[in-house]
Amino acid sequence: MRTRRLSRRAVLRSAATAGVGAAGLALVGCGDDDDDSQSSAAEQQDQQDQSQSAAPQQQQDQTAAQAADQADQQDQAAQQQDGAQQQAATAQAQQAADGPPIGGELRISDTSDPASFDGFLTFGYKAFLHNHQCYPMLTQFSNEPGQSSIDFQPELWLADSVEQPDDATYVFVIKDNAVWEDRAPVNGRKVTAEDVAFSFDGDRYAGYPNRGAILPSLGGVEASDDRTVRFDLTAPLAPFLLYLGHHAGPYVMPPELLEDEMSRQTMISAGPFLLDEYEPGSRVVYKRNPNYFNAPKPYADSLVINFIGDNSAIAAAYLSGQLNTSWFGVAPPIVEELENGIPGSTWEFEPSLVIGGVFPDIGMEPFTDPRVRQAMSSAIDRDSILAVGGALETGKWSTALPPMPGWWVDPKEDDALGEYYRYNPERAMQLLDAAGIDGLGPVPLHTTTAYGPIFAEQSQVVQANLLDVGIEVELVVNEPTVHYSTIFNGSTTGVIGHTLSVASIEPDEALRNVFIPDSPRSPIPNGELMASDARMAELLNMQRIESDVEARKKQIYDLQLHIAEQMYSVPWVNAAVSQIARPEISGVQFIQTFAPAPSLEDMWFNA
Amino acid sequence: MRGYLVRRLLLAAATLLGISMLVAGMMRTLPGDVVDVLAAEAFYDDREKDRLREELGLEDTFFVYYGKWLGDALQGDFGESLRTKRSVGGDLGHRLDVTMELAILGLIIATCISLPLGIVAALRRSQWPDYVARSIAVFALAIPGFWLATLAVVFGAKWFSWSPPLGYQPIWEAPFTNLQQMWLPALLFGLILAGVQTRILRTALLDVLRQDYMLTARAKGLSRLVLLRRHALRNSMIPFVTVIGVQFPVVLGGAVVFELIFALPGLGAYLLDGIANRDYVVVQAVNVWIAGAVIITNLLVDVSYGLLDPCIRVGA
Repeated sequence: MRTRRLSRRAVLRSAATAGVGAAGLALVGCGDDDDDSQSSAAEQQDQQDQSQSAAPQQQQDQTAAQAADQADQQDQAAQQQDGAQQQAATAQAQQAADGPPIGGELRISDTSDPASFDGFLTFGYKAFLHNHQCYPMLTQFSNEPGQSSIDFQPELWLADSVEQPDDATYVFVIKDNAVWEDRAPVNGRKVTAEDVAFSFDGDRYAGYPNRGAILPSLGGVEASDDRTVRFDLTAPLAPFLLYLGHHAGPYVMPPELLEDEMSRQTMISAGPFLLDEYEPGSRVVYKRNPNYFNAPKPYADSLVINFIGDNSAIAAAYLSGQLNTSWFGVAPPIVEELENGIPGSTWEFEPSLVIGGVFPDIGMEPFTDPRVRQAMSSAIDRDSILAVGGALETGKWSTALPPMPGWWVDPKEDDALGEYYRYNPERAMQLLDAAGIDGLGPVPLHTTTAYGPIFAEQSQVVQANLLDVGIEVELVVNEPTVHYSTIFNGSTTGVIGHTLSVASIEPDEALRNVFIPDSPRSPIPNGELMASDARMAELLNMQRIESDVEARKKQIYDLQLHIAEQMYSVPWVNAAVSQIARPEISGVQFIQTFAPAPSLEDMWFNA
Repeated sequence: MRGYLVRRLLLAAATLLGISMLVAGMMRTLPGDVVDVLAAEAFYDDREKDRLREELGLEDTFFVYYGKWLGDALQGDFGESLRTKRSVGGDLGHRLDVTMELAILGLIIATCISLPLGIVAALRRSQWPDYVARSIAVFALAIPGFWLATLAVVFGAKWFSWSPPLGYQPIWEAPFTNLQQMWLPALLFGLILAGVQTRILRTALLDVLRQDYMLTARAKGLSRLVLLRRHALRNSMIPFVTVIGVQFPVVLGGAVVFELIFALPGLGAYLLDGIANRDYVVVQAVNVWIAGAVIITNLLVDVSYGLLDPCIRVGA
């Protein structure tokens, strides 16, 4: 049986409780230690008692008798409580032995429909949430009790075993009991190694939007037999197993489904759930796949993903029991309200892994000078930005990386990195002086409504901070479509962009998305100028092939420091992302991705 | 009458044509297109964007593009969404049900609220019932719909652990579930709409009650009830019905707020998504349908004048 993972606040709350308990224990302990002195005190007390009158003695006897009765009652209550706890523990042990009960309708929400059910044709996290219910991958993110929702570790999923004959070769054997759903055109045939190879097939994979993760290292993929598939890499790839289970795929789909683009409108499953019904704009209903290769999972009989765009509606649906759990998008104050409304809710805050920040055009004077970009960074008060979003307690400062456990170094605790990211207007002005800048601007700072009203407010904080050191920016607020087609991909030059980019699960992915000069995902205008930075290119390549974790950590730290010196982008903050589940479900183990399938198939309804 | 209807229908067709052309033209003037949206999702480069634009027919001139769309639309084919590739006609069919039901229920509830309030306010002019009725009407006019809806949803869940069932079940498939889903948004929507209706009805009734023929009828011994039912109400219905007709486009537009807050898959949410994604095909189709509904409603309102007041002859 899974145990509840403790979030920061839960830890604090437990610590407070533990503090009270510890204080109690300390008092009891003091009593034990003082037995001798207590007995001498008791003797003194006896002597005093003997000198006291009979009436008070009688009163003391009554009090002592009452105390004894009370102690007996407490003992009985304690025994009853122990009994109840034993019964509960027995029941839990029994349930663990029997396995979680199967049944119930698991209800979650997303903000809107996927553009299609095929991640190859319409890439987007809304598609992945659905793909993960039906299409397996060789690996997936592990989902162990106590594991942070942003600590991604690979585990085998469709693969039964994996061997690595050398650093650049992987041989997977897929599970023998993996079968496609019994529907035309696949009609319940087995999932084969050819299906897996097809996902990485030349032209097809070359057009896949998330190809950047593996393709640069991919030599070839070949199905040796029905169950064995071999990956030959051109060079070792440290996060290869994790990338194979990336929430952004590619998922293994039956090739037959691609005829007439059927894959846009439907899915044929080999995963935990079968697509049962799709009501555009309203919901998608899945039913349990009885032939799922990881049986007896999933534990829920059905899964309903409702499309709710409004936060109040999500909160109301959660409070009224129409949603069992809710992922990203619920603001921290609302989560507190929900938790108070439904005692026993399981919930968690973790920093988001979305990369974001202020992106000046590095080809535009005077932003070609790293000192000017560093001055911008020192001028920005990151804690004030977090405070605007109500995430001062739970949010973190980014470096070139979002706060990835094990890889990211907290600039608040690292002096070398901290120098570049701490709020220090004096340093900013010194840097501007050194660069020969005496007042700058106005320069357009493009922000957007795409990420909600708080983001635009945060842009105003940036504007005020920059003005304090003599950099005048004019806010230009773009509606989402304009933003996504201009600032989001760094295609507008001559401006400073303020944007979020994509969420990453691995430092290699986060760094390459933004700092590879020709990356289509980089929000840095004129990013191709980074091609002249040989040191960064070298470090980016080294960390990608380094298999020794400690050596790779050092390389990634060096990269964070190097990028901070160059300040190609001015990273800012990662606010908290909240996740909450009602007490009627167990097995809740959040995974902060856009396709939380491992969580969903593990959840069960309490008997 | 027949000639009048034919003339109005011809005018309606011309209006629809103009609206569809205007919407298509305006969508093209907006910065960004659907390819930009798809490219942002998929991280396409410029070469891939150009290929997609050609595939989707966005490289055609406006008139070629519009001509193709019009030809298909006249045959009842509203095309496929540029983004989802789903049939727009099919999506419209599902979503129109939701919005029309919300709009019609909202108008019915508004009428049920405003009729008694307007009558009481007029008959008890400058007395406390009038003040109460006018206060309710002003409250309904002043309060923002999205705020009222949010409060109802949140407090319903917080205090009673209840919120309307998620999704939408057509009334002919699951009437009970449908009513559970629709009663609250329709009630709140109706309350908002009732403000204007109450005030118009009160004013119209007061105007009629002051007429000489009403005094004459009263002097001839007609009871107040008969007077009200046969003469006053009927004559004050024309401005009232006109307001309902005028409210209909407002209702269709305002429904989007209620659709979002109550997670109803209606036409408003579909239109908003279409605009945000620069999905010209969706936006044109929705606008044509809404324009058509408004034109037909106004035609019905005009025709109803003749029924309400025999002195009026439509088309005369």
